[in-house]
This record gives sequence, C-alpha cells and structure tokens, in this order.
Amino acid sequence: MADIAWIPLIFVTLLVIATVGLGIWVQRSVRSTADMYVASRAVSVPMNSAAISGEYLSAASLMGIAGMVMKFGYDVLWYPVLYAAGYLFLLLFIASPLRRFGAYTIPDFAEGRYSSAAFRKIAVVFVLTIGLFYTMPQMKGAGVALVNILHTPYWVGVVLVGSVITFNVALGGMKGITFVQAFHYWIKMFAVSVPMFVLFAFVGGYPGQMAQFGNEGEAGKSVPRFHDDHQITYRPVAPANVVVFPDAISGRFANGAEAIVTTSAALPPGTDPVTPADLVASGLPAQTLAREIAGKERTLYVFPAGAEFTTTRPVTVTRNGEPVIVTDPSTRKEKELKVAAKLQLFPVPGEERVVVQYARGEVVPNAPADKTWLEPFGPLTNKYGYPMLYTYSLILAIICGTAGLPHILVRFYTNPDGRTAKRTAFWVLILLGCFYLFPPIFGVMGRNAVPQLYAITGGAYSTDSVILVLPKILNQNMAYLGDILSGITSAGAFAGFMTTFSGLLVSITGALAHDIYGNMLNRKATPGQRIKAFRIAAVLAGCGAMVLGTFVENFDINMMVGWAFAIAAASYFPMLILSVWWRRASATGAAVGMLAGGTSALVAIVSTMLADKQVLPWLAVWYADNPIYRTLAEQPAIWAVPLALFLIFTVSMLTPRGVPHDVHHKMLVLHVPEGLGLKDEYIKEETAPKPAR
Amino acid sequence: MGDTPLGTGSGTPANLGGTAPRYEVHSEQYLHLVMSAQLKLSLKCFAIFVVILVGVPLVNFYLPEIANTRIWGFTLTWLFLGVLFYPLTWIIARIYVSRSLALEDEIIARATWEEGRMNGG
Repeated sequence: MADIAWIPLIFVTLLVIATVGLGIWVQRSVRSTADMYVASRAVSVPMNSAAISGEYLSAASLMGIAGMVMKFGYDVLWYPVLYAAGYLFLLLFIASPLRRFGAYTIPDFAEGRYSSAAFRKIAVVFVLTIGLFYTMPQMKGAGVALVNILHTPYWVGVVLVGSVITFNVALGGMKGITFVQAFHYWIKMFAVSVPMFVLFAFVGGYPGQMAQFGNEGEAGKSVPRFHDDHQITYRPVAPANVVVFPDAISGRFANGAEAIVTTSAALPPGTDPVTPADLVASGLPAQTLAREIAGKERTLYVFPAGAEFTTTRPVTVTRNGEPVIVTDPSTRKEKELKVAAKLQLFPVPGEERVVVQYARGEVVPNAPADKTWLEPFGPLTNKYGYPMLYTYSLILAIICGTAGLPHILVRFYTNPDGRTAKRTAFWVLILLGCFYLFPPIFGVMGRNAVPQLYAITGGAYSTDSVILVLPKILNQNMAYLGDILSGITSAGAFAGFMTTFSGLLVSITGALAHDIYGNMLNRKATPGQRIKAFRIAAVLAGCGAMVLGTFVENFDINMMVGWAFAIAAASYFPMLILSVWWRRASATGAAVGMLAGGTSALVAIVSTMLADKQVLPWLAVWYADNPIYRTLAEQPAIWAVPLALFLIFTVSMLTPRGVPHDVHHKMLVLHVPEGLGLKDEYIKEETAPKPAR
Repeated sequence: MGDTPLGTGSGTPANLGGTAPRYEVHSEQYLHLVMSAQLKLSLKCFAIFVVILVGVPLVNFYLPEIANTRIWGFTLTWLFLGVLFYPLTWIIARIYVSRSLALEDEIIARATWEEGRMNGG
C-alpha cells in the first residue's frame, strides 16, 4: 500500500467531511414534509440553478466525456452539446408548466393530470427503473475512482459514496441536498477549470493542443506513441483484455500470456483467409492449446514469460489475390480493406493478470489515427457502418432523454413559481455551458500527453481515468503540483458521484415514500409519519443502490447511462410533452404509449448486452450479420420515441372517454401565469403559506 | 435576470395592448390564446436548434472539406460544437425567457373575470 495517492486522498476526505457537515447543518432547519420533498418550494434562483447544475453534472459528464473524447474523438462532442440542448428543450416546453402543476413527484403529475390512480403506479415503476439504472454508473464511477486513489477494493468507493449521501438525504431530504448540490456544482466547476488553466500555462492552450493533430494526407495517419516505457496490466475480463494493434508494435509479455490472435474486423465472405501468422511478425510460439470460449473452440498461443512480440502493419485483405476494395461509410471514398492484429489475452496458469511492457516510442495499441479521431463519423458512430443513423439516433436519445429524467424534472418543483422556473432554467444553461467547455479539453490534452491510457480499453486505468491522470504530468515541472491538481480533479469527480446519486436517491425515495407509502399504503399518514417514512425509504433505497453498485464493476459506465437515457426518452418524454401540450390525451393513451415505448427501448438495449456478453450467441451472430439492426437496437430512440408518441396519439383518439372531464381547468393551471391567482398546487402542505387569492 | 419589463425582449410579440380582445379566464378562447402564444414562442426558439442538430451532421457528411477546414488549430466543426454552441444556447435561452415572461404579463392583462376582477396573487 506504499503508493497511496495521499494528496488526492486528502482532497476527497475534505470534500466528504464538508458534505456531511453541510448536511448536518441544514438538517436543523428541516421541519416539514414539504422541506423533505420540494425544499418548501422556496429555493432562490441562484441557489437552485447551481443545485440543478450540480445534480445534472454526473460522473458521466466529468470522467465519461473526457475519457470518451480521448478514446473516440469528435463524435463524443455531441454528448455535452446534447446535454445542454436537452436542457434547453426542457426550458422551452416543460419546465414552467410542470412547476405550475405543483406536484411533489412525477407520478403525482401523472395521476393528477389524468385523474387516474392506476397511472401513478405505472409512473412509479419507471421512476424506480430509470433511477436505478442511472444510479449504478455513479456507483461504479465512485468505486473505480477510489481504486485509482487508494488502491482499495472496488466496493469501498461504492459504500463510501453510498453511505455519505444516504445519510445526507435521510437527514435533510430535498432541502438538505439542495445546499449540498449547489456547493458541489462550484466544487466541480473549480475542479474542471483551475487544473486546466494551470495545464494551459505549462503545456499550451486549447488551439495549440488541437493544432498538433493532422487531418491532411500523411499527417492524418499519425498515431499516438508512448512517451515513456510503460507496463500495462490486462485483467482477463472482456473488453479490457482485448487489444487492437493498429501498426507494427513491439511488446514484451513480462509474465507470459495465452493469446487468441484474430483480425480486428470480421472478413467479408469469399476472401482469402488471414492467418494468425500473418498478423504477428515476430512469429507465433510453438506451444498452443485449445479452449472453449463463449461457446466456440478457440486456439490460444502460449507466450512464455519474457517473450517479446511484434505485430504486423495492417494487412490488406485479398480475394483471389486481388485487394478487396470497400467504400468507407463515413468518407464515401473507396479504399483497400485492411485488418489489424487483435489479441485477446489470458494469464498463464498461476498468474491473475497479463503484464505487457511497451518501450518508449512504440505506437500505443487501440489508439485511432489522427484523421479518424479529429473528423466526424469516427470510431464511435461508424462502428456498424451507419454513421448518420447512429448520430441522429444519439441526438434524439439524449435530447428527449434529458427531458424525461425524473430526478432532473423533480427539481423544478423546488422553484417558488413558473416564472422562477424559467429564470432558473436559463441560469442552469449558463452554468452547464461554462462547465461543458472543459471535459473535452481533458480528452484532447490526454491524447497528446498521456497516450498510454489507450493501451487498455476498460477498468480503472483506461481513458476513463484521464481527468485523474493527466494533471500528474506537471509533477515534472514542479514537485507536487501535479498531485495537487489531480487531487482537485479527484474531488470534482467525487462531487459528481455524490450529487447525482443524491438527486437520484431523493427521486427514488420520493417514489417509495410519497407515491407508494403515502398514496397507496397509508393515505391517512400524519406529517410526522410521512417524514419518518421518507427517512426509512431513503435508507432502504440507499442500501439497495449500494448492493447493486457492487455488482456492476465490469459494466461500462456509458452503456448504463445510455440505458437510463433511452428508457427515459421513450417513456417519460412522450408522456410529458403530450400531457402538457395536448388536451385530448387520455389516461389509457398516455399509459400505453409510455409503457410500450419504455419497454421496447429497454428490451432492445438489453438484447445488445445479451449479445455482447455472449449470453445469446445466436443473437450476437445475427447482429453481426445485420449491422443496421444492431445500430437500431443500441440507439433505440430513433424508433422508440416516435412509436411512443404515435401510440399515445392513436390510443387517445380511440379512448376519448379517458380524457379527464376537468381537462380545461388542468390545462389552465399548467399554462396560466400565477399572476392571475389561479395557482392551485396539486399537493398542498399545511405548513406552506396558502397561495394568495 | 429575466426580470425584464414588458417589451424589452428583442421584438415584442404582437402588440396586444389595450385594443386586443380580452377573454374570460375560464373560456375556451382564453386557454387557446395562452397555450398557442407560448407554444409558438417555444417552437420558434427550438426551430433554430432543429436546424443546427439536423444540419451539422449533414454538413459534416456532405461537405467534409468545409467542416474540416482548420481554423485557429481547430477544425470548423469542432470549434462550433466544442466551443461556440454553448454561447448560442445562452442567447436563445435569454431571448426566450425575456419574451416568455413578457408574454405572461400580456396574458394576465388580457384576462377578464365574470364576477368582477379578483386580486391576483
């Protein structure tokens, strides 16, 4: 345990202490259930906009975007752009009507808008599903970050973040976390900007960093190279143990390895075979063994400890001796089809991991070339050969998903009225925009300064850790400077897990305590019982989330976030937008559309996961043969959102009796300014001041 | 911010001042007025984003030489998505919030009550 990162540890500890302290301090002023659920609807614009932004900027926006920009390049810029645009969409169409309705939770809104208690139950299911899917990646991020700092087992980070936030939420509810989230926004903004400005001073600004990537001719083909000798540890878990060698690269298996050698892409039918011997220039070891992996008999080459290897440059695929010509789907130019060496590494008996040493100056495995990285339709959207379809579906998923995330929506209820809800959303956009400038810069600078992170595709030392690793390069300029900055970014990352988890926990707890306990199990609960129920539900949900969090170590953060967004986009978003703007929506229509849209998106995404993890090998084969369906299943928004909207529309037309009889009054409450005195909070609170009439 | 008095939003929505018809609050026409005025404003603001979100991938795909022109180290399309997009969201949001709040004041001014005027909250 000699290499504990003490300085980051100190920063994270300070942050945790400040968070708990703030929670205890706020708790003294929490008196009513309105405090717990909606902070008494009295949060000022500056405080609430910082709190919403704080909650919105999760681990995915901080570590995920920086890491993915480094890994995939331009295409990932869509994520922060769409998170911001999705918020704008929320401001334009949903924010103020939703606030004017005056509920506590989104299921309240669903029930109230359609006068249907059954609808509340469906809505609760989706709050819990989306909430849990979104919680797991936060937990995973926390676990992984702590592995980086403390070298603790993975579960320690999960339990640490989980218990701190559960404590805060149980004590102070929405009011408690509002202060904490606002505080955390500024921590994150500081953590992402200050280290970056210091880095600018030492290694040059954003334009200077960008100018180092070429996209013309030969310059576009350049790939990152190791700046130092590096030793990379591969654990035998896919995809972390899969390494693609885009050039002739030499390495040394320090403790030996058993490797499956294949081509980086499947060969089209009818082509001449490319054998493992064609891919490894240094020659294959004589010793092989056969093993069944994912239902297929594979040949593993056994490299003894200390064996050196060199891969070949990408090999041109031929058919009857002639090069195969393909059209690149992103540039629409014809080119020779080339495949590179792909090694899947397993440790030799007696070892747990494969350690590969790369010398300074070698090309880094897995890294895309400058041109594909810098220009649109690179390795992310062009994965399956349908880059435009993938891009548009991603755009739709994130915009609509943002507008359907219950834990974001529920924060609007903390505004005093619809006017402040609009002003809050405007300031949130400013705060988010300032923040989102920075994570891609970490990715850009990471590609130049710490390319060794490309060498492994998953886990704690992959590109996902770029914001923690990059600042350390400054240690060579000034002692401890890099560690201090890395400490600051670590604290920012922790603030990311904690705030987002706290928002999710309030929304899950609200669903359990308010919608299930307060409105289904015990409608006559006293205010005291309701506060108690909130606290018990918070602890239960927090513990549940921690347990789930420990199971997801090998899941991809972005994949899990993608699930949450796609489900929200296809369930809540269509329901909300039509409920707010279309008077003839019926309860049955809205429920059917929401259920069918959300479920089909979920099924599509889960099917890609089952295929990837080889649970259903036939499905994996089918998806490989039909890349367009694979794209549609991985990014379901482009068909699931229209499907849900269509179902709500048609079913509502068929069931006009399901339109509530007082829909006129409901629409007035949703849209008419408070100034007219029509204000009619759906949930009235004894302790809250009566609306003036 | 956003507390802009009526009319400072760039281009006030149709002049509804004293001459415009007034409706009873609970009437069908009034609800229609309220919803369609706000929806039109929202759709107008969002149309700009529809153009950008649909257009940028199209430009990237069909006019790559323009999208990938190098400017100040960046490519044009990177500069737009990575940097310039955010100030644009601020401008649109600013215009929307000030005009939408102005619209709310007008909506209040155009309401009448059956049993005499009530005092607003």
